[in-house]
Amino acid sequence: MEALKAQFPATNFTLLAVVLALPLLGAFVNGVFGKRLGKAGVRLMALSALGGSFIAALATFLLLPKGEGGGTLAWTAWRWFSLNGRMGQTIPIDVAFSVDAMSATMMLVVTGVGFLIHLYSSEYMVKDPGYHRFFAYLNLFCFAMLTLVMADNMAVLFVGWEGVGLCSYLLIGFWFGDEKNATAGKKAFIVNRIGDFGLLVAMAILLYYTGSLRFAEINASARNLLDPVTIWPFGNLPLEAQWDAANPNANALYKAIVHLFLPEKGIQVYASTLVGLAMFLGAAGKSAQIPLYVWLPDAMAGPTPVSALIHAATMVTAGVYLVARTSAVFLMSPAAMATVAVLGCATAIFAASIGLFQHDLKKVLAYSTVSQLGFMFIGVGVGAFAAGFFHVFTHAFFKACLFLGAGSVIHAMHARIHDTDKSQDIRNMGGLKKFMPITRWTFLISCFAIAGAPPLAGFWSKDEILWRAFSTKIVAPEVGRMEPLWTWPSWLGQGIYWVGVVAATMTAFYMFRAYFLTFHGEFRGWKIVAGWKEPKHGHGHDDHGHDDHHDHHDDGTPLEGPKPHESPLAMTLPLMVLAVFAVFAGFLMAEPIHIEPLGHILSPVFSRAHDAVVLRGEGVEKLMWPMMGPGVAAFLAGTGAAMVVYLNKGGAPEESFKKAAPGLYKLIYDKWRIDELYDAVVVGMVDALADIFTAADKWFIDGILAKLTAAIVAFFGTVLRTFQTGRVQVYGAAMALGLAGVGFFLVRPHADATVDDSKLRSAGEVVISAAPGPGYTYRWEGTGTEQKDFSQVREVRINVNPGETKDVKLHVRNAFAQEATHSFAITRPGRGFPSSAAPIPVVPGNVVPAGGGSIPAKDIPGLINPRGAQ
Amino acid sequence: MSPLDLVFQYWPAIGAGILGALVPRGDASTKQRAGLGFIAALTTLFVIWLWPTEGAAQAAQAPGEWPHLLNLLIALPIVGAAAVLFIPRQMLSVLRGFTYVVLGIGFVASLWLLTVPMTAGWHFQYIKDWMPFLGIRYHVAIDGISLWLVLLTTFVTPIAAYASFGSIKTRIKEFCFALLLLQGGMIGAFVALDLFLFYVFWELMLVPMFMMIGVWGGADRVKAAIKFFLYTMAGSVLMLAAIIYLVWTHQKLTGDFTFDYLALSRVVLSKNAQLICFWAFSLAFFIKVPMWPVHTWLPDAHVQAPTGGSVILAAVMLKLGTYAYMRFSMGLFPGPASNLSANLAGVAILGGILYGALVAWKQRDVKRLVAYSSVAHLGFVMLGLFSATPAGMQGAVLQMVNHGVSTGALFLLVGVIYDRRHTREVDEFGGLAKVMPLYAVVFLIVTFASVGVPGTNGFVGEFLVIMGTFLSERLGKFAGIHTVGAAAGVILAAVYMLYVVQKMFFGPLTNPKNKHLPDLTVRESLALAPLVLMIFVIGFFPAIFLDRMKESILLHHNQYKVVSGQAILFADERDAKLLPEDTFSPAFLKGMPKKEKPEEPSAGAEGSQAALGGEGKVAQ
Amino acid sequence: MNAGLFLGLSPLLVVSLGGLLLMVAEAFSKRRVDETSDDRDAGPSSELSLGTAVTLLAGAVFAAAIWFVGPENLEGASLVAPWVIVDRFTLFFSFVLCLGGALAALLAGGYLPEHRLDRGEFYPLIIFSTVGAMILAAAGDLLSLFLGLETMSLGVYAMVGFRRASLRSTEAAVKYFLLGSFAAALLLYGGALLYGATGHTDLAGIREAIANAQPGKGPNFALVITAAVLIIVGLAFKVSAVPFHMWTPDAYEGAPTPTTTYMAVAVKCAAFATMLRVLVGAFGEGGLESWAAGWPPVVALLAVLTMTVANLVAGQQESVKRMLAYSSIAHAGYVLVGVVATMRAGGDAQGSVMFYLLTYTVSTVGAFGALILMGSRGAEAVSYEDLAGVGKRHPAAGFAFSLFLLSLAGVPPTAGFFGKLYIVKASIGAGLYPLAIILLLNSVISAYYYLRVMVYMYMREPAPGAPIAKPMRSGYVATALVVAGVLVLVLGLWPTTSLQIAVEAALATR
Repeated sequence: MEALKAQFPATNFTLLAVVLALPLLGAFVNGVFGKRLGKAGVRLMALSALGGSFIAALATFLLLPKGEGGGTLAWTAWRWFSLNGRMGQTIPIDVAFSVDAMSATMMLVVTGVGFLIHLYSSEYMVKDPGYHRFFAYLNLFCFAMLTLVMADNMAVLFVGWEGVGLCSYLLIGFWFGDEKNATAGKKAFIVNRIGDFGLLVAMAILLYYTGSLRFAEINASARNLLDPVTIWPFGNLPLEAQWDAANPNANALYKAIVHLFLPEKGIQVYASTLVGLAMFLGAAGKSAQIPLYVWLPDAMAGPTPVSALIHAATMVTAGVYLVARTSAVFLMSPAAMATVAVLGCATAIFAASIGLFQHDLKKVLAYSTVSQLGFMFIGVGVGAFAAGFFHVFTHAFFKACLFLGAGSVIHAMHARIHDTDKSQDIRNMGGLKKFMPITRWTFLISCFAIAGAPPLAGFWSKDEILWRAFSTKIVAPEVGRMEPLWTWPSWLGQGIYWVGVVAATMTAFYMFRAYFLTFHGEFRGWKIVAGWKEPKHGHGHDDHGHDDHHDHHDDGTPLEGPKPHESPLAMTLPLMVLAVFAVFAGFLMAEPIHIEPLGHILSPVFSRAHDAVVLRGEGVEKLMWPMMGPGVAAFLAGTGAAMVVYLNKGGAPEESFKKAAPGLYKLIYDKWRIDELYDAVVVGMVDALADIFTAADKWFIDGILAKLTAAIVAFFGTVLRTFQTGRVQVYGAAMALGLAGVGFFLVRPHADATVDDSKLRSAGEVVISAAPGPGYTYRWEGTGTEQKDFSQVREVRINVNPGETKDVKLHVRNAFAQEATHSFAITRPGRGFPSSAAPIPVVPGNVVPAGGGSIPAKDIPGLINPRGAQ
Repeated sequence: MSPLDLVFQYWPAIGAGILGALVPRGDASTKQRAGLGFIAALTTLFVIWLWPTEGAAQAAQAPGEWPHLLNLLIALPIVGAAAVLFIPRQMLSVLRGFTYVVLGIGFVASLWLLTVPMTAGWHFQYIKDWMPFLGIRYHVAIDGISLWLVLLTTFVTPIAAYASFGSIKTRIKEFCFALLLLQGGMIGAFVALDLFLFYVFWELMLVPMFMMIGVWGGADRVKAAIKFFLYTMAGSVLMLAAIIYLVWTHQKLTGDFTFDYLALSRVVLSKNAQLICFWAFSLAFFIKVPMWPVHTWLPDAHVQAPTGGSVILAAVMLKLGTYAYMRFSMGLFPGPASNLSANLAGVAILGGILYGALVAWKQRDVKRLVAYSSVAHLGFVMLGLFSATPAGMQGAVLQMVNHGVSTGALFLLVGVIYDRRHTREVDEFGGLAKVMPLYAVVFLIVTFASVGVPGTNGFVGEFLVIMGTFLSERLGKFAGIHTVGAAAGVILAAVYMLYVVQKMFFGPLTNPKNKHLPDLTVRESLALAPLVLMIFVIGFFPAIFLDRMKESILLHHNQYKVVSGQAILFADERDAKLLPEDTFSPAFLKGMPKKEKPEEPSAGAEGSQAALGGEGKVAQ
Repeated sequence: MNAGLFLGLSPLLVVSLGGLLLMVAEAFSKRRVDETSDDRDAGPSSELSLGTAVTLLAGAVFAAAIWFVGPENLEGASLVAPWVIVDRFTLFFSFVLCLGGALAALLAGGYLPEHRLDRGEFYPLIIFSTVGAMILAAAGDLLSLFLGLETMSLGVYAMVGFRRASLRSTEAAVKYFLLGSFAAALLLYGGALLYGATGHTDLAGIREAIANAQPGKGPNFALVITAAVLIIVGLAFKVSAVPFHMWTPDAYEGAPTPTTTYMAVAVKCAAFATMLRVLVGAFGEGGLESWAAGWPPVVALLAVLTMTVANLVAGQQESVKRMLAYSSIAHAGYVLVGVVATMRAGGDAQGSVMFYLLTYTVSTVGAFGALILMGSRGAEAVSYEDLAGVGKRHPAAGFAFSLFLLSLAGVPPTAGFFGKLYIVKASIGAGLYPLAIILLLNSVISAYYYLRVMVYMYMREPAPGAPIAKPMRSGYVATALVVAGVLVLVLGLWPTTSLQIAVEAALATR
């Protein structure tokens, strides 16, 4: 151990490179050489990459400096790029990784659960022709996820963040031959991108206020974010009063309309709130929270191990991880924290309600995941970062176990049912407990864990979150003597608690519903015939997503088949390991019984939370044990109800509910039709906008700039061309006309003059010179020296007193004795009044002040190389 | 140095070469393996070579700047083009070979530019009197900004040529001529520091491109070619008028005629003249970029142009607009550029990033879609320039290179499918990933580069631009909303690119015509390989690009900051003024034409008049 | 009489003498036109064309030689002033006129035999017409001016109607003659009035009389203005400014192409030389130059009309020859901008006019020459359709044509670009911003129809079944094209020397 410590110093901890490089290598080798390696080679490569990575991660975890202040292990790979901040200072963005207790734990989860799922997949996917591709993607995913959790700064985190999104896209659309899968992948990526948009904006704001993207520095200078920002009206929009002052004579209707848009006073928030909300948008995208949860259920189109790894255990928790990682920023903004908690709470109960009546086993699990993620966000939203993160940890085990169990069931169902939807429909299952004992038991244990049965993992983590929500509140940080912009209402925590309890009840209900329908009762998939043999036209597992599905029910005869089989060891072993963790992981942070090793090592990571998170009131801490009651009751109620409905009554109450309230049942079954709403509102609007723009581009912009111009030129060309008749008379007439025109101009008198008023303001002197003309004579009026006759005086000088206006009239007479006049009014501005004619230099705030019109040479180097640039 | 040392020093390159050779699957030919290995090794060498080392050590070892290097880069293709005229048209392989050789030498020679540390100021400067009568000089030089654009040109053109010779079978001689002339014009425009010279090169590019679109283009090529030519020319004649006005003003202030960019930077025009000249310049550049609403020539030109033409048009020629805006509009008229930047940034975001993306989404012709995506991408570039922060400008320059690489690759890929099916309608395809897996993989990689997924080149540029936008003081109160708008463009990029990927590659393979399409050929994959490699090189190691442009960007930025302040402060209603030399960094003014007579201090427009000059003012 | 005088008049004398000799040679030549013969070398062109070119070039060489000697050093040359002024201005125009004439003669050497027009009298006509043009450019007196004008015009009338068998050609000649006489009459009447008002026929005297006018004493300005109107119109006809341009397309189209070339080049140059002499020289003072009430606004308006109308109509033409006719009108408009600018920017602007005429000469000769080259016996290339696919079939001809068209369009690095640039520079220097902008926008419109030729040459295939003309083979035409092509590039890339010469020549008149 000590030798290892010497080998890997904490500031240059190259073991992290090993953790990262192995999955990347696996991805590369499998991706490029996979077809040549064969399935055994691919399996070896993928498993050894993840295994090696797990061992290195374990070593990292063990080498993590222990002690009061915690500690980090850091490794900088290379300088990615650098940019200049607000003050001109250079902000380096390094490809750097650092690991503290939280990320080390995540690393273990990612590599550990990842390894188990790789192992599972190596059997599950064995008949797929895209085997190597699958493992390349999976390895790449692990690499990206590790990058995400190990990142030292937000830019590197963003690499992992988008990387996992990319892998998720590729894996959801793994069977791309089916349009549905490809669409689901695209949807996932685009919805995630909406979140990434938030993250990008958050990074920009952070860079502006904290001058860094490194987590350590962001957290250290988070107080800079307590800067009030006016978010409305933005730009140059005035306030109501300002607008009224500027437009005193506006018509009443117009005024009323304008007042609709202009606020009475500006709305101010802390910059930290903006960062928090933007970051939460990112987190909501990745972690499938309201309003961006819609992609996750669709993402179940991918292979089941993918759902287990990416869409349950690791990637979707990245949002929670991000909020916990930047906890210091969130703590600066009670409003952002409240948003996180409330939306998490809403997601928890909303997704749970959808999960109640789904028929697709994976969809049930998917909505359960969304709901559980909601719980995690409640945790981080109420300032219980450790508890929220702990739920991430426990959830990874039992949800992965549940998904893999579901995969095992689907694997069995695939023996005769090749249609993806039908093989996942719990109405086609039932009674599997006798055929698949291992799967059944592990599934059951995980169900208990997720439902919150004490003392399994889920109980501890969920209960901790709800307790914290009940007992604490967030206080606004103090900024001088300024009033906090927003305070956390006292009822919020309790409200979240009770909604959470209801959601937990639902969780227990739908999980056990799924369990009973799948494993109890009679098998409904096909007629079991002993010694059944695969007919010639049968299909293997490689038919996933192919477009040549045969529906075996077509001919009306009941489907026959062998007994559903238990999965091979490579698949059941991960199930068992995960189930063990689902039972015992809770004891890593069981606060009520004071066994909390994980909590202990995490506490330095969230040390800043102590200032902002306070107990809601006097004596709340005494309620810890009593408040466990509702949680346990929720488990019992949900489980009991499910048992009554589905085990004892065989689902009859559900049918009667369906008959009693078909509308509501359908609405819940259709996921409250949120997808349709989004399609109609958001997608529809963008689509319409795009249509309008496209039409405008074609007809309006191109039409005016190119087509209309060309048409005008052609039109005039054609018109003018018609004069070219070929008749010499016309030509002669044109010449005569031209002659007349020229004659008209030259014979007419033109009174024109230039006024030189450059000395008007200083000396009051103006020189007016008449334009010359052949044989012209001039007469001036109003110059002071009156002239009666026309003379050859072309230039006059006029003196004007301040504030005086003089009218001067020029008469000209030409050789044909025709006359013309031109008058001028010359005004000299009065003394002491600012003249509107005088240019008022507009000096933007950032212009370097310059004396005498220039910057002296000696100051130039300082300007060219601004402060801190070196 | 023993061979063993070489092996140790360059093991990454050797490894990459071996890896590259191993990448193609079983049935690949030796030629393909060798080619890919070679490209991989070269790219790795390039990265090793560029790797930022200790600045001091590098500067100490820096070789001298050979002043004729830029002349060589410009003259080689132009002389080559002239030489092509004398090669018989039947000797196709000689014509092709000659073109490769000229472009290849150009590329290798341009790498030499990298040997010099890019400190602030001009490098490889070469000045020679051309028309002393008018103060027109042959003045070429590069700085850290134009360096990358020159390299982009010399890098992309050979690829475009290589790819073109795969599909263009007629009038090879004319094609070689046009290509080489184009190359010379483009490099010239990037390095010219004399406005006359710049204008000559700027216009010189038009004709070969016009021919390329018109002769080897698609069905509606003539219309597109004429549209391209007239649009660009309409913009540039106004620029010519503004150039001449500027020259006259300078002449009135100092008594000397000069078209030199450095000397003319000192002129602060009167208020209205500043604004008008700014627009005259910028309109020419905006048309080239193209910015909304003068972008409509681009989709037509791209759709009709042959693959090689599209690649060059997108990769290099559009950059001329952005580069010239940065160099000339911002350099000569910093006052209006600064005052208008918030509004222009709004146009870049609404009209470029968002509008371009939405219109791209609605296109059913892949090439048209990619063309509109260029409008969106260049919106980012322009936004970075308008933000006028070092980060934004660095991002803009990097994004210029990025767009050249990834959109160039996209056009090559569209060309591949067009060569096979003679259609580019998205609806004609579907499920291609099954029959053309390699093609699909490359397309996906380039798509993600274009979308800006981190790890690829697109991300770094967009990231810097977005960060720079928020940090910008020029954009003032609008920085926030601009940042949000720009970041929203990131979403839309995914929408339209993934739309096309899904339509073309995923889903069932329904169209029977697509059932037996061959995958990428050797030629196509070799043409794409360097671009794909560059996508990752820039994505992972952007510092090697950013570090070399940093000093120039800072110089440009600070000068812009100082001079725009002065231009706004001291712009007069009537008269033009001359900023004293010490407003500028001496590094910037290096090579400015020497005055023949002593300068009159603070000379106004009514100052000395040349023998040939007339009255200064227009009659009322 | 002395050597200086002879030397000073030597360009004129050499060309006249050469013309006489050639006429004699032609008379005694055994070669006669044989309409049935297919031997293109049988006719008189084969010996006369080169002789004419050499004669005219000799004139050019003499002009250049005097330039180097310095016309102010020639004693006795002033003896013939003001009837014939030997100054740098004259020499410059003599050079340009001789060059244009020589190149046109070379074109004729290929064109006439090819199209069975091979009659020897064409060449003396060119030569004597050039003599007239040179006198016109050198004239410092209204009398010699008129003499030169008529000498030049008579020759051109004959050359326009040279294709006797063709109705179009004859019609063109008659139209040109009728309207030309009308214009000459206006000019003559204007001269007479001017003489009546000022008592002078020499331009310098007229200028002085107008400039020194005192109230009650001096010229009657009503007469002067009337004279100015008539003279301006007469000159505008000669340079074919809108609306006095309407004869131009018909005459240009009907005339044999070498004649068209000659008219577009030499006649126009000479007319502009006169215009500069009269407007800038004689009418340069005394209020006639006023921007408010003098000739500059009139000419500016004419320039705008000329550029715009010609370019708009040129875009609608189906015949390349007619398009080039309109293009030459448009170019006259550009030059008129320079003429206006001369009143403000002085010698520099006048130099720009003269340089422009030089670049215009080489580009136009080249363009018409290329058009000639693309036609052959019985299939003269006139319409756009005739040019379809030429670039592919005859790359060299296509390349040459493209070069000259680009020069006419003003695309760098050709001579046309620099000429335009210099006029724009002069007009911006003179503060004539609107004129400069209109000029530049017009050049964009013009690019459209020049490009259209390239489109047909390179991007279109001939319609199926359409007769495909194979280009003629002629050393003369090829030589003319090579000379013009080299000049186009040299004047575009290294214009310094020629530009300096033009400005120096312009300053000679001030």
